[in-house]
Amino acid sequence: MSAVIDMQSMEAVISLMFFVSILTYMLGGIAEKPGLDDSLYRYQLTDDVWRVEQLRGNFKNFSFDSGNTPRDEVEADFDDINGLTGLCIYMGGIKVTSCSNEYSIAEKVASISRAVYIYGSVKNVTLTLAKDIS
Amino acid sequence: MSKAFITFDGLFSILPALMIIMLAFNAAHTLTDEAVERMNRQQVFDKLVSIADYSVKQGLVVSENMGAIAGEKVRYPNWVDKSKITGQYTEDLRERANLDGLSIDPTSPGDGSYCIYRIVVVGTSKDIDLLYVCGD
Repeated sequence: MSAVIDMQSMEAVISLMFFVSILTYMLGGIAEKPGLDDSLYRYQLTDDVWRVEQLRGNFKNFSFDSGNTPRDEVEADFDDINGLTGLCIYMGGIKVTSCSNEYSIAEKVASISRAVYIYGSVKNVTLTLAKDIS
Repeated sequence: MSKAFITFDGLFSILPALMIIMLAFNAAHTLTDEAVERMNRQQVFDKLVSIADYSVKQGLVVSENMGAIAGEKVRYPNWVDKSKITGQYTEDLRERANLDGLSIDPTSPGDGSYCIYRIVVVGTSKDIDLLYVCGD
């Protein structure tokens, strides 16, 4: 009889251990889950940058050539936005903030594509917001 | 003698079963609480995102009569008129969104568990600024 009780207890302990391990796994999974979904907000912020530049009229006669006045103004504005928000801004793959020059070391926030009139024709330009993690 | 053994045996069987049931209830309770809390946080955040978007696209923007259609005004999204940020405007939005607290501030983050900002221009010189929307 004593052997039977030991066997049952052992079964119960093994079951309990199995159950606790599953429980730990499930609760651990909850803790690891990311917090808020802010994907829409990030795209809105990226669009804000574009809209602000439009409102300030910096895309008129814009080109990527160095020395182009609208481009210099866009860069200065992006520096200001970087100062206010800490976000790096890349336009057409070109670094235009005081963030690190290495595109790859910045954590991307969001990218949008917008049309700009450059060199006499409409070009699609990518605007990317990123966090400087250097 | 035999009866006592049966009771003792039963006790050993019931105890782990009870513990497992209790743990299962606790786990279910924790899971539910966590899911509800996460949903509430996301709801508040989404409301703030909506309020901020509405404010920078319609509620607080500079608008002017263009004369094309009587009474029709042209709005300039992201060009914020600071004079439109009033206590009444904020209170109306707070009530509509059913939030406990809401602050819309063009200078610094206000009170609230969650804060977001939008990039805007202000004034006739269209200076770059941030619009903070905080709430809980």
